[in-house]
Amino acid sequence: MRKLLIADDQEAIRSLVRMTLESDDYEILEASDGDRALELARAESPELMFLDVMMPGRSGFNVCRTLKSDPQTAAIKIVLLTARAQDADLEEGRAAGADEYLTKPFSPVSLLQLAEEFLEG
Amino acid sequence: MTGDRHMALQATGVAIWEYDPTNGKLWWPETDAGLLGASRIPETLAGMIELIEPDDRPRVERAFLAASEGGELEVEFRVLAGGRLRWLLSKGRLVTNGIGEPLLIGLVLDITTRKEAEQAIRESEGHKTAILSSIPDAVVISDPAGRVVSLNPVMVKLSGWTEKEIVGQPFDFYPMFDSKDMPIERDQRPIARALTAGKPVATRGYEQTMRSRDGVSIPVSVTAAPVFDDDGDLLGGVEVLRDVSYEREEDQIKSSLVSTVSHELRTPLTMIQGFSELVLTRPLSPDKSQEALRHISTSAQRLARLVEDLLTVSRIESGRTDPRLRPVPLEEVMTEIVGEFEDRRTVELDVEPGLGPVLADRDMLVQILTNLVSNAVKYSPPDAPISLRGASRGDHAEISVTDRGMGMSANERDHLFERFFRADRDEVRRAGGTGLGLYITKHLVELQRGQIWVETELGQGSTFSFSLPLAPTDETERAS
Repeated sequence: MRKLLIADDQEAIRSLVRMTLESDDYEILEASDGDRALELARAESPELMFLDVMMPGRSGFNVCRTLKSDPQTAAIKIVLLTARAQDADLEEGRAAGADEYLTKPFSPVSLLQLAEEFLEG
Repeated sequence: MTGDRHMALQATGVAIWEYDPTNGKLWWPETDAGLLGASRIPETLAGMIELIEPDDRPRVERAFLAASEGGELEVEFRVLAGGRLRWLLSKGRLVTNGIGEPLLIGLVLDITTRKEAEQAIRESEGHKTAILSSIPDAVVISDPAGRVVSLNPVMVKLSGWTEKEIVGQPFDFYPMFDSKDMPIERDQRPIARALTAGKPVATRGYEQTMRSRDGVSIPVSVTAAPVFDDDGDLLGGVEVLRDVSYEREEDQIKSSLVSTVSHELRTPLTMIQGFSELVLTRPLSPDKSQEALRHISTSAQRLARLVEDLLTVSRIESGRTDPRLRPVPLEEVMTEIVGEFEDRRTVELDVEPGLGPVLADRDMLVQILTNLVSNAVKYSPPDAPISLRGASRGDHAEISVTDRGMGMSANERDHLFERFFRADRDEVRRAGGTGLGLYITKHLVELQRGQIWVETELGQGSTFSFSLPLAPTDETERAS
């Protein structure tokens, strides 16, 4: 089974992502804040992370930057989730090393396609 | 003396006199008493002084005394002639007569017309100055070349420059900046454009600022207009500046509302869009379908509440909320509320026995209690109890909601009831919300002649209390 991590402080969003990706192929890990996301990513080395930007404690940008700058975790593909779609945020996401960006509201179908693309590639 | 000269003097209202300082005698060669308003010509200075208005007498006396010592005489004074006050001017000079004695010679002329015209101008000027001083906006008046002619007191206060320092200076003595904070060039300033175009000019929006003498930046809205006289000649320009700090703040609050509301909309929309797409496109187990539909329903309710809150705020602010005050049984309503929250949280109810009905709008009271209790639920741990108390305080009932939650800092508490205020803390952000609930609650309480306040400490929970007038009992009604 391939490991995926979803980090979002809102349970409803996590459950949406979980329900979207739920299959025998994926093991889905969940974190409700930035610190826990970092901890899980380091311990479990998921292949792909869906990472909310606005989380309590460490922000998604911070988690992304930290993981991408560490050779141990740099290979984890990261998709940032955010409610803010301003250009400045996109820039900050790219600068933090994110592989892709999804703005809320997002379509589960496109999220699934994204997951499949990343995991194939 | 010829008769012609006499007539000429009479006709022009001029009298000639000679004054002998050694004996105080006055001699009027060809004057009747009419000019001085007397029946007889005064033969001494003292006699003439008696004809003068009492207030002016010392001045005239001093002037004659000084001129008698050598020099010129020029003094204005009033006399009562033919039942009305007339202004007279006396001029004279000390000369030496044929035998070497000093003699003061001079004339008196009627200057009433001139004085009245001057007075009218003074009054009209005074009127204009009074109008300028009472305009609550800042006013700068310039000549056609753009040099300042005058400032009103508001402009003095706003700019920090005094009228004395600025009169004669170019109108751009205070710097102005555009929306990008770039200095506005002299020829682009409103008053310059108004003078050039020959028509009024106004700035738009709240983005322009002026810089005061102390370097304070003040957002201003500016109008300027050329001033023409009756013949259409340009007399100068007038510029009116209004401090729009308040409007700009309101504008910024509205912009932040749009961003807050769109953020608040996105989460439920994500749920509704996402889960409905899942239900429609994926073969889900009945359990999963149920869960998806539950999320959709909860999110739709959240959206409905948001819309409801926004409408309430709009109603409150336009003054369209009218409470229908009736005696409301407080304990009954409080019990209902406790029941509403039963499945989410235990709310301990404590009502003073025999607490009478309050004079309130029942729907509003329910909304207030619902807001306060749901806040207590939202901002405290799931296992922490909440208490709802009711007690009488004189002619008021005091209702309070206490939680053992996160509490607030003093600074947060001070802004708590402001529209769109959200504490800048993760735990608050996570709980979601638009910053409208307590703003609405406070207004609802005040509409019912009550007050609301909070006691809180960071990490120690909060107690929100509000008062409502107790409904008059039958006895008090009969007594009043």
